[in-house]
Amino acid sequence: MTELRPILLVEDSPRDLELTLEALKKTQLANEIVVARDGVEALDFLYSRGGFAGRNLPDPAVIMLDLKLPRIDGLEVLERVKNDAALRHLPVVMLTSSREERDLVRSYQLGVNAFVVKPVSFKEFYQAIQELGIFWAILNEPPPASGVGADA
Amino acid sequence: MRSPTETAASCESEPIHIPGGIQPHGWLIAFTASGRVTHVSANVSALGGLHPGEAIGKTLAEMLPAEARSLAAGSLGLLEWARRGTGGFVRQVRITGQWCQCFAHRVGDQLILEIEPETRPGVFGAAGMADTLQADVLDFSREAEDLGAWQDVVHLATRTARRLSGFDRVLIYRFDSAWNGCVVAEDGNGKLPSLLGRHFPASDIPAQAREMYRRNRLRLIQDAGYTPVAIVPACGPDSDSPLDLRQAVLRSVSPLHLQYMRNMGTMASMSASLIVDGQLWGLVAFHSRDPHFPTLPVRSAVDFLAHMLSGGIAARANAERAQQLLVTQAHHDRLLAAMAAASPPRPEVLADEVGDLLALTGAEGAAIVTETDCLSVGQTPDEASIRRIAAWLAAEGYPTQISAGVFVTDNLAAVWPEGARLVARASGVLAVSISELHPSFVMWFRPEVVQTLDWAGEPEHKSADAAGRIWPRDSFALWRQTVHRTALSWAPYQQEAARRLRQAIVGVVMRRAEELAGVNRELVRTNTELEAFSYSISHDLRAPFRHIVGYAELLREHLGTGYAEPGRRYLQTIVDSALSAGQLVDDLLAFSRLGRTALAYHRVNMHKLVEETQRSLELEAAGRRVAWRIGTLPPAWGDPAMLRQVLLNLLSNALKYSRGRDPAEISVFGEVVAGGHRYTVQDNGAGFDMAYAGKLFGVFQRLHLSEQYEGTGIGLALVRRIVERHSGRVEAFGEVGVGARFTFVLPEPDSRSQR
Repeated sequence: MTELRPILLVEDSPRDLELTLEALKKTQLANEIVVARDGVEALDFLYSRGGFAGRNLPDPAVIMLDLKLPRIDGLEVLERVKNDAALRHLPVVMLTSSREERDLVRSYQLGVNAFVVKPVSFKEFYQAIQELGIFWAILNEPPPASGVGADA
Repeated sequence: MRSPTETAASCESEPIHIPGGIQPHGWLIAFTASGRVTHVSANVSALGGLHPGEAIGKTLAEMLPAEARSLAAGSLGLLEWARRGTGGFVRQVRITGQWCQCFAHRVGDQLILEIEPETRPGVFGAAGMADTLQADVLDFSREAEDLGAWQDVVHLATRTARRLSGFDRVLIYRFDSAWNGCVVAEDGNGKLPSLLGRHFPASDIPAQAREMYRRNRLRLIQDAGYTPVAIVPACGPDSDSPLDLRQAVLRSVSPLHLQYMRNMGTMASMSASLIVDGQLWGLVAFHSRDPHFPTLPVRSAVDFLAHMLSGGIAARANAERAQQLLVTQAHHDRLLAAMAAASPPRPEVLADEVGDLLALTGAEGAAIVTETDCLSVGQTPDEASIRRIAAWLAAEGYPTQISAGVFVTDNLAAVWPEGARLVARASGVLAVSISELHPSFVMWFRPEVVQTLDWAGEPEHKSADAAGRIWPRDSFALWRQTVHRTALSWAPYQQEAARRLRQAIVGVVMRRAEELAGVNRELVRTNTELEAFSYSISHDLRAPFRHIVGYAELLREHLGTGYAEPGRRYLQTIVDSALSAGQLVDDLLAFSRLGRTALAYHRVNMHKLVEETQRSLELEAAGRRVAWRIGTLPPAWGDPAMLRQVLLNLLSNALKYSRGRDPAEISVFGEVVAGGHRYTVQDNGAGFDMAYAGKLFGVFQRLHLSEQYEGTGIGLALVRRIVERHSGRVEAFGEVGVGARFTFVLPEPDSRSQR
């Protein structure tokens, strides 16, 4: 595969968005960062519709998904992705402020690939984002494009 | 006491309402609505000349003598008249030169006409006689008004009744709850022996006789030496059953009864029923040694007198009942108030209200038996015996012998043989069940009262004739019986009081349960709100702290090295403050979560857990000399994740507060103590003043300045909460500058169910 896959960052808080983008910038990934501000925009990108109709970018290498989002929240986006045979192979990382156990349980039930509670300490936060970016965008080998989604 | 009701059982089965005959001093004719004669008395030929066989099937007009045909002409009218009421005197006619009284009543579709000739002069009453009799009854009524007790009224009634009837002796006979009778009033001229105070067994007046007495209020046997006259035909015409003569004036009584009368030495008798509240309360019984022929006005006057006496008794009984209810209600109210005032309301507190509890049912002793308690007041059997009674009641007595929710007996030993040894305190038992779930009872006790009963003759004595037929006893001489093992009877209103108390107790307890359910619903709601609250805190409060730290760090990078103190320190303080605020949020959430998480009990290797915890603290101990002494620790019974929290907090505290020591000494050990296993964490650190030991475990309670020892002040509160949720307890001992020792005890599951 020749094209570099983007990272889809779904985040509604402008401050969290800025901090996360700063952290990702430090990681110096070549991948393009696509930002969606709520669940609807995230799904629009994934299904190439709305503001992302006819997108020329490939599917993302990883979806970094905030839990609490306007309109369609993170858990619902996760559920739709994991229930769609064409999308379910996309890695989804939940990024959340909450340590709430039921969110964790629900996320894993829906098939999340990782669940990260954003650390208060920026240093730790930066490290977490960096590691996530490097792991999913660089190290992780996605399944081959052909045949994906056929195993429904 | 042997029951006299078993006596003369042959009497109980005798079909007395169809004796198949009448007394010989009159005639009986039964006919249908169409006027056809169906039955006649065998002596009917003396009336109109037709033999009984010839009379059947004729019309009334055809069989009556010419001068009585007017009766027949009005026969349909008679039937109509009889249909409206129970029947009675119709008119006086002259037949074959004799004045005759005619009575009519209806049985089913038949009319029964009875004709009684004035066989003896004066029997129908002289002119003005009725007025005199009426005056006598009115006098009685007026005098009775001034008398309060029914006992006085019935005495007055016997005097009036004898004066107007001319019988030798008049008795008032009262039934008890078992239908034994007792003579409660008497007036006589001395020709017949006195029976006042004597008891008669229920079998003397069997059930079917009592039922007949309830419907037919006046019976008369003028001469017990009579020979009955048969009814022809014995059965039919359309059915196999004989004519129902229950309400016939001339009805012949059973041979047994005639024998009974002859045995009593009375050749004439009359009785009038006393009906109170629809029940047969007693009888006014008239006796004469020789045949006696009361006139018709006398019979009417007696009927009227009995009617008035019944009303008088009923009025006094009602007044007495009202008074009893009033008194009982006062006791009931006080008992209920005492119970409702207790928190939570429970029946056990009734035992404190001794006076009311005993007076409620007129008992000498009472007990309240619940799942856990057995409280007794007054004169009762010992606790073990009370529990035996309760166990028997629960298993057998209560399910099989209650009436209207109350178990009641005057003779416990009779229904429960083991009760024989308790007669001195518990011959009488009244009990109500007060729980649907457990065998719980309120019981009242009455002691044995040895009673002497004077029977009119030995009630079980019978004589049999040559054919083996049982005859009524022939002696009515005083026969004195001593009754053992029996308490005074529980009056109906006392039983009712017990039943009402039961309802109230169950009601109060149920209401309490409903209140608790309400509180529970409220708690669930509050809990849900709290959960939502802490959820939003964990999200929304943590985020700003994260942003503060993040932007402060970005600012520091942005400024690079080109800025000097105190700016560097200010920035660091912003970061540190936000970090500690974030930690506080995390700790608080952990603390609140503790209350809602269910404990997952396991056998926990505490030794291993301590070692793991110690290793996780190595980073904090880096660069310090710490002497760890980990002794033997018995395994614990609890939730491993939570116990790890406990150890982590205690060990990190020990490490933190021994910071100034070189070397720091931290000991952890455990031992088996009464009630569980005790674990101790001890250090040689800063210690604390025991005066503040109580504050140590509160949320946000700190005994040191935060710049000395960092922390959020939640750690020990968390420890206590976890230990208490394990039903354990935690303690702290300390001395300033010497060190601190924390212990917690976790109970062992021996006493509870072992998994």
